[in-house]
Amino acid sequence: MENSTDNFKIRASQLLWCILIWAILASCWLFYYSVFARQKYMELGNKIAVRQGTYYAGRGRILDKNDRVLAWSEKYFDLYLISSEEDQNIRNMALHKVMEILPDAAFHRVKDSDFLLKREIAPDKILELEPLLTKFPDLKILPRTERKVVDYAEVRNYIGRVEFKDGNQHGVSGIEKDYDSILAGTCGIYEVMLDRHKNWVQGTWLLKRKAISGNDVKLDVSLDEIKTGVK
Amino acid sequence: MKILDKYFTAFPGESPVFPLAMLIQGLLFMLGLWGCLAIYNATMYAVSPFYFVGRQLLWLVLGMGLMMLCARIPFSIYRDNVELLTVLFYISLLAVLIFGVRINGMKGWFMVGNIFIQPSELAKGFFILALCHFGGKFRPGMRRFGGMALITLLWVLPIALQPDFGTVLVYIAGFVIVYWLMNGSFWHLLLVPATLFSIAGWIINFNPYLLNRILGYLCPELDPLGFGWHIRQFQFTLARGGLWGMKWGKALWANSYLPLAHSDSVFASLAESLGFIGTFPLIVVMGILVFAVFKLSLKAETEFRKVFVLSIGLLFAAQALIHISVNVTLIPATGITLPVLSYGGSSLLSTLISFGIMLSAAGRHETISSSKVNYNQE
Repeated sequence: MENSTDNFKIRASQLLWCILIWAILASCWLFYYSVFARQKYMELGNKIAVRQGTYYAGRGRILDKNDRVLAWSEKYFDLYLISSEEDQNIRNMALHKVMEILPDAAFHRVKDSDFLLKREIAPDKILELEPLLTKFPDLKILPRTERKVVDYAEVRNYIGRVEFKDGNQHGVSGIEKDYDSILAGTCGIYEVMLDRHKNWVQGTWLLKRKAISGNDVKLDVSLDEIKTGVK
Repeated sequence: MKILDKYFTAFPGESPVFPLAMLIQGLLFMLGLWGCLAIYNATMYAVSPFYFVGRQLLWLVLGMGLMMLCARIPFSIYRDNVELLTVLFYISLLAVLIFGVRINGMKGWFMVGNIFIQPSELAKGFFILALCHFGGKFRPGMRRFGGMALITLLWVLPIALQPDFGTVLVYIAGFVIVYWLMNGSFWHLLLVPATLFSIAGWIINFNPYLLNRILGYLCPELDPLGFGWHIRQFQFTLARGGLWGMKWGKALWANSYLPLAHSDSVFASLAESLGFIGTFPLIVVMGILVFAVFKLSLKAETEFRKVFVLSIGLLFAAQALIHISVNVTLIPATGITLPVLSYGGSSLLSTLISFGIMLSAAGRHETISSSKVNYNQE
């Protein structure tokens, strides 16, 4: 009995030593990545996941001499289904779930396999949709800023057009172009971590530069004068 | 050590101070709670952050109860019914291939209502019991090795067909442990890696995906967005954790990039939140638990029981180290849970039930007539 117990003790100790060496090796590996080579792997990781982006500064309004607003910007949120590897069944399931919240949602193709499901979603609906965005990573709510002008053809021509460039609106014709340096603000810069589906990871948004809104421009003509062509 | 020995005793009542069985149960419960926190940490950005942790807590309470119950059942009942138990669990392994449901590409779960039961997890402790029992029936030497290897092969075949290679690896580790403790030959054991490498080579020959997986492990920088992806993500997760960790609940990389951060990648997820300083103690606590099981095994009456008791502890250690090694990229990625800590009712219950039977084997509830009983006779 003594012999067999001793033998068991020896063999058990040998196995325990193997386990101990394995544990030490695993701990060394853990130490290597978390302390010794940390910087290198952090930088490599950030290249994949951390993205810088700009956010819209808010373009100034254009007013006539009577302080009547002729042009202004409005922000909307649209719901998209963006292409990925997901199969058709999952897409249909996603649409089905969306339709429980937005009954009039429907597929409108915008690119090869990207679909616009609904334009101009109300804030309360955005909150309702939030759990679905995690469940179906293909679903995205994207912001869109539109430049609005009072609805007269003469005024629209006089005010001119804007285009989006580098995340901000820039005037390309008319008053919008002439006063662009005043109207256009400076875009904000942020940094955010993306997950593997390219969605923002909650709690990682970091402001790098604050956006500065554009200033309003007051014209020395009135709306009626623009309409009648007296400029 | 003599002073420590005086205080290490199998069951309460045998020594007034520091009963060993209580220490093991306490450590398991503590690890279970630690696991619940780790699961919450890994799922707190999910749609229902309390879903996984709530279920795990229920499994933990149930598992602790079952462990105590299994420890109270005399070991002779397990031993006398080992053939029946072996057949029942083996049938469940076969049945899951026909009636099971496929999750994450593996057909390894029975679905009962909204509960998933994984028989390959539940069968682990009984596999060790069967191996100890049937191994003792073979004459020592090549015959014993062959017999035990055949039992292991039959047992892991349905698991390999699921396919769940991580669990297969754990079962093979179990075979090596039991065989070695039963006075197995080192030269015979060399056949295990030789056979495994041959089979792996043969499979790789027909399956380039596996070759790429191994290449991805060896040189992740060759294809960081393809086959090196998982290895790279584990490395980035550990790097983010650093020495002190990102903060509790800030396992952002693990949540966003690791597969099953609450289960197969729970160690890396913890490392991101708590850093090296917070995760190294986990390895130490597991080491203390295994050492306690070793001391307990020395208290067992017969060799059969000694081997069984220690094998359960070492199987726990082997599975934990496989999980940790995968998470620190010491070995190629394979899906395996960290026992007691990872999310999963089957895994948790299986470990706690195995420890319950182990405590029963170490206890002295039965009178053993001869002090010279060995595993062949028992």
